[in-house]
Order: sequence, then structure tokens, then C-alpha cells
Amino acid sequence: MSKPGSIPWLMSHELRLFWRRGQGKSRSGWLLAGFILSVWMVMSFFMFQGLGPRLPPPPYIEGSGDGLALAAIGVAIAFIGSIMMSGAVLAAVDAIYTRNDLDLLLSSPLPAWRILAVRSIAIAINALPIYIGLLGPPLLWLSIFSSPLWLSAIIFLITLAFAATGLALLIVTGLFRLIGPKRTRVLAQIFSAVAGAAIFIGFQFLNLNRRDEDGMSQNEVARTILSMDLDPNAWWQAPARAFTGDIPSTLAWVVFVALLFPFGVYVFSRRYVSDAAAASAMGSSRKRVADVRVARVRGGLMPTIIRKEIRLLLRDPLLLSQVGLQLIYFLPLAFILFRPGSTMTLDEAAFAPALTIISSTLAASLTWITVSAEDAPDLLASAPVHARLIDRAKLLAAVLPVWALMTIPLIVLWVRDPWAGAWATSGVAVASVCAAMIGLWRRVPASRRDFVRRRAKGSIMAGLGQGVVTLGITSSIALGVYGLPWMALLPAIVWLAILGALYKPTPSIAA
Amino acid sequence: MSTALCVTDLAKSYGGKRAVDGISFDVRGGELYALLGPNGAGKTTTLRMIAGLLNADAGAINVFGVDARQDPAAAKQLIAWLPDEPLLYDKLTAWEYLEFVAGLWGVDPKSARADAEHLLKLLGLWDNRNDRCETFSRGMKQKAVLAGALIHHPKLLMLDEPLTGLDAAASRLVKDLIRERVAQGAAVILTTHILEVAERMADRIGIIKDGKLLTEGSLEELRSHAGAQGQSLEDVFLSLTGQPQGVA
Repeated sequence: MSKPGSIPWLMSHELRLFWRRGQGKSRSGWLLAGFILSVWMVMSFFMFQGLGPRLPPPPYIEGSGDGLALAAIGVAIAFIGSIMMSGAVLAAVDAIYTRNDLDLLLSSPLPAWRILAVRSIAIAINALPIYIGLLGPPLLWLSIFSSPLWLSAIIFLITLAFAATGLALLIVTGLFRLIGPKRTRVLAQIFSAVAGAAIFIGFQFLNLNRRDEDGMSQNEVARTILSMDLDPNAWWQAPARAFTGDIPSTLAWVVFVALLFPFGVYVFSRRYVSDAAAASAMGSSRKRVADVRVARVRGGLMPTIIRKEIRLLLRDPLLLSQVGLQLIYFLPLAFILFRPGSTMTLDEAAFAPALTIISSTLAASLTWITVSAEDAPDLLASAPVHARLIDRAKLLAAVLPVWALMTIPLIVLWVRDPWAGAWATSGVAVASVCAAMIGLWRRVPASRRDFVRRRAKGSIMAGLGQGVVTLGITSSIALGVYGLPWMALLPAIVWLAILGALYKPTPSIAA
Repeated sequence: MSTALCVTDLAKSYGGKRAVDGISFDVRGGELYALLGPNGAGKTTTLRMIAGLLNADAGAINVFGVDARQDPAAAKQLIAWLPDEPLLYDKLTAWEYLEFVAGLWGVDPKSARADAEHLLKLLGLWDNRNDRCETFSRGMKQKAVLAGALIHHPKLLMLDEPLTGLDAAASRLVKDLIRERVAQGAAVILTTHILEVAERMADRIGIIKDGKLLTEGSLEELRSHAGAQGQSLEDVFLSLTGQPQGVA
């Protein structure tokens, strides 16, 4: 057994908490995760048993084709690293602002750096399971059937988590110095939300900027990329080279991480106590000025609840950015729709199902926030109002912002093609209301922070139901808008039946 | 004085364990009733059932003549419930919180505004009315919630550990407010672990243990019941609940 207070002892405490948090998940969740992992293990075995021997052995450090392959791997690494960093930024912000058990640990006579170093290691380890689960099996089979050098990819992934965490600690500490406690929290939260999408947005931006008036076809884009003579030995290809087993690059990468992570921990822990104190004094240190504003009190049950929900949403930049993140992936569609005078590569009709999916996704998220993540359920339950009425108001609060967001795209679509506009309007209205109703019926109480941490949207049943019903509605809309309205009835029957099966009456009172 | 609350044979079980086991008591208008008991005795469960937050397994709850189990909305209109943990929205300001609660209880906006102003000034939160609740200390949150509980002029006020987190001055203020409401004819049920508060403020005291009401009455009646004349409520309470009385 390790000595109490030592790094291994603290680490075992962190790992125990990590394990117990996992145990909190339902048995069916574990079984499902185990099943998916086993299936993936078997699938990737058959995939790479055939593919592995045909792959040229890594490292890929010769020829322009190798340069291109390495660049593609580099983009994937950047994407994974940015997502890991986004989680680490959130965890670092949490450590400063929420603290939780850190207050207890730091009140002990143990040195602060030791506690924070262990917490930082835990943050890095927390980022790993999903990527090890996803990439571990293929890399394992590749190292058996292709080349053992692929094992370096696993080492790379682990060190990438530490690099992302080190960088995140430096970013949060830097932001704190530059812009102060209040803005750091908001900015870091928004940063963490968009960091994962940054790579995607960057590529869309490049893609759009490179287009001439007539646009480039996919083949032209592919030809342009292939014609680039990318040097596999360029310095910026080093992470990808390390990933594919180039030993000098791997060693350089490990040394880089071995310097970056402790440096991040050092800077973070050195500033932690003063930063945490500044963060906790954030509310009380505000200068009191004679505030003469007295708002009027507005009545009405429905408007009161809707107003409250919209206020809570608008005042939570983290939540807002997480919801907005879902829109980012649909930005390319908006670019195509709004680009003036362009000959579109997609016809207008394609926007009806696309807008249907976006509306449903947004409504599902907003319903989760307004219904499941209610901060004061007891207050609402103790009010002299029927629960159904409150639910109706919350449902409205969830779908109104979606309709507001969709207004402009729908108007553009109506102007360009009224037929597509009409179908899109129906799709937006029906999909958003259905997604909201499923969220309402299948609610699972949770905290708003869960949305940010796990991108949670409620129960498995709600998530599956919303997905299947959205798919059904989208099919109906797609068939309708492409001139097959009678065919649209077929999926409509299916999704209506599923919707009916998901119905659960509003509990008027807790059991 | 009219009967404000009449609880008869109230029962609630959780997974076979009787949390509340056939409790009966009543509270009159203009009376402060302290409900005391060790941790896990069933105090909060009882109050949550009265507030309409939990379904009772059996029994009756009557609030100013309204059957709370038959017509919960009508009963809730008369009740304010102040839980031990403040029910607040971090991102709302104190003013917006009161506006929201007034909206839930259907208070006329004009009188709600006057009452909100009065309560916030009284509780020392007026200068913070446009601050978000997330910046409040525990005591400030407690006061904001109390203002929310009072804004709709409840006739039955149920306070679960209302003095938790309050400093001495705020604690005095809250006690004065409670007394004022009692003097105006409201019925107040209070749970507290600070027995001196119950001793000083309560007109009648009920002691529950293991979901059962052991005894109730004025302090004098409890003393004679426990055979502990001249002793403090703390001694009486420990004697009645059979708990150890200090270090041996």
C-alpha cells in the first residue's frame, strides 16, 4: 500500500472516485458499452486481419503520397487533441471556480503542487477511455497484422491527452491573468465548446474561400489536394510521424510532452491558490453602486415560465455555446443557401429535410435543458399550478427559440422555392414539437452541468425515440418535397406509432 | 382560532421502510408549531407531503378546509414551503426570482412589485436585487428564498431549518418576520435542530421519531409528559427520544 499523502496514494483516491462515478451508471449502460466494445473488437479483427498485411509498413516518411497520408493523420490528431483539450479546459475551470473536493484536499497539510499534479493527471486520464475504446482495437490488430510500430500510436494517444491537458492548464491560467476571473470562466467555457469544432469550421472556411464563382467539384478538390507536394519530413508532420511509428519523432514527441505537461501543472499550481481566491471573491468584490433600477413585475403563468427559461438559457454562455455547437455542423448548408447568385450544388428541396433535422436536434437539447435540468423542481411542484400547464410552458420555451432561429432560412427558402419552403416549415414545426414532447414524456432529472459534461439529452429511451422519430419525419418531408406526398404517409405511420408508444403522462406529483 | 392544518393518520413508506407512520396533528391559525425530531425521523417527508411534493400512502391533509390530497392546487395556493436547501435559479436576479414566484402563485403584478420591494428592503437584499443569485452567499440565498415564500401571503408557512446559514442579525430578522406573520394570523410549522429557537418561539411542539408522533403540546405539557419539570427543551427532547444526554 502506498504511503498516505504520496502521489500514488492521491492517485489511487482519484482513480477510486473515477471508478465510483462510473459505477453510478446503470447496469444496462455498462452492458451496452461492453457489448459495443466487444462487437468493435471482433469487427476490427476481421477488418484488419485482411487489410493489415496489405498496408505498407509504417513509418510513412518517403514520397509525396506519404506526406499526404501523414497530413490526413495530422488533421485527425488535431481534431482528437482539440476535443481532449476542450474537456481539460472545462476541468481546469471547474478546479478554479467550483473546487468541490479540492477545498478539502488543499486544506490538508499536503503540498498544493502534489494535489494539483495528481488532479491534472486525472484530467488527462479522464480524456482517454473513449479514444482508447475507439482506436485501441484497430491499432492492436494493426500492430499484430501489419507492423508492431503501430503500437506507438497508442503511446501517442496517451501522451496526446497529457499534452492537451498541459496546454489547457496554460490557457486557463493565461486567460485568468489577461482578462480576469469573470471573463475567463465565460471565455474558457465557450472556447472549450468550440475547440472541438474549430478544425471542422477551419476546413469549411478554407473550402469556401477557395471556391471560385462556379464552385469546385469534389473531384477538383481531390485533384488539388493530390497535386500538393507535402513533405513527410516537415516539422509540422512530426506528430503524425510519431503516430505512425517513426521512432525519432516518437521520442521527440514524448520529450515535448514530458516538458509541456509538468510546465502546465507548475504554472497552474503556482497560480492556483490566488486564482481560486479571486474566483471565489468574484461575486462579493463587485463594487456596490447605488442601483436605482426597479423593474416592473410582469404576470401571467405562461409568460412567466417562458421568460424564466429563456433568461436562464441566455445567461449561461456555456450551455448556449453547447447548444449552438450543434448548429456549427450545419453551417456549410447555410453558406450554400445564403451565397448570393451562386448555382447551388444542392437543390432547394434538400434544405427541407436538413432544416427538419436541425430543428429536432435543437428542440431536443432545449427541452432537456428546460424540463429535465430544472433547477428548482420542488418550487414548481409546490406552486398551485397543474404540472401539465408548467410542462406546456416549458415545451413552448424549448421550441420558440428553434422557430425563431429557423425563421430566416425558411423565409429564404419560401422566396426561392415556395414548395420546398412549405415542406420545410412543416418539417421544422412537427420535428421540433415531437422532439420536445418526447423529451417531456421521457424526462430524467439532471443538472444543467450534465449537458455540458456528457452532452446529455436525457434517457436512452428519449435519445433513441427522438432519433428514430426525427428520421421518420425527415423521410416524410424528403418524400413530400421531392413530389411523393403519398409515399410520405408510410414513414408517417411508423413515426406516429413510435411517438404514441413513447407517450407517458405527466406525473402530477412525486411518488 | 380556526384550524389551519389538520393532518390525520398520514403515512409514507420507502421500499418497505415506514418513513412516516400514521402521524396526526393539527395547527391553528396564528400559531407557531415546531416539529422536532432526530435526523431521519420523518419531519421533512411529512412537510413534503403537506406541501404536495410527495404522494402520501395513506391519511388525510386538510389545509384551511381544503382537502390537499383531493385538490392539491387549491391547497398549494395557501401554502409556502421553505426547504432546508434554498430553491433558487443561479442565473436569475433576486428581483426576477420574486417575479417568477409571484407569477407561479398568480399574484397581481402591481401588489407583487410592492411586496417584492418591501421584502427585499426588509431582508437587506434591496441593493442586491439586480444581482444574480449565483453571486449570493448561503445566507443571502436563504433570505431570497424566504422573500419568495412570503411574496404570495401564504396562510400556512412551512419552514424546514430556516435559520441554516444565517448570521446572528439575519437570524433575528427572520425570527421577527416569522413572529410577525404569526401575529397576522398565519400558521407556521417550523423544523429546527436548534432547540433554543423552538423553545423560545413555538406555541406548541411536536416530537417525532421513527415516523411516529411521540408527543405534542406546549413546553410545559412536554415537561410534565417527560417528568422533567424546570428542564430545558433540549433535556426534554433527549429524554423523550431516548437519546444519550451528553458525554458520560
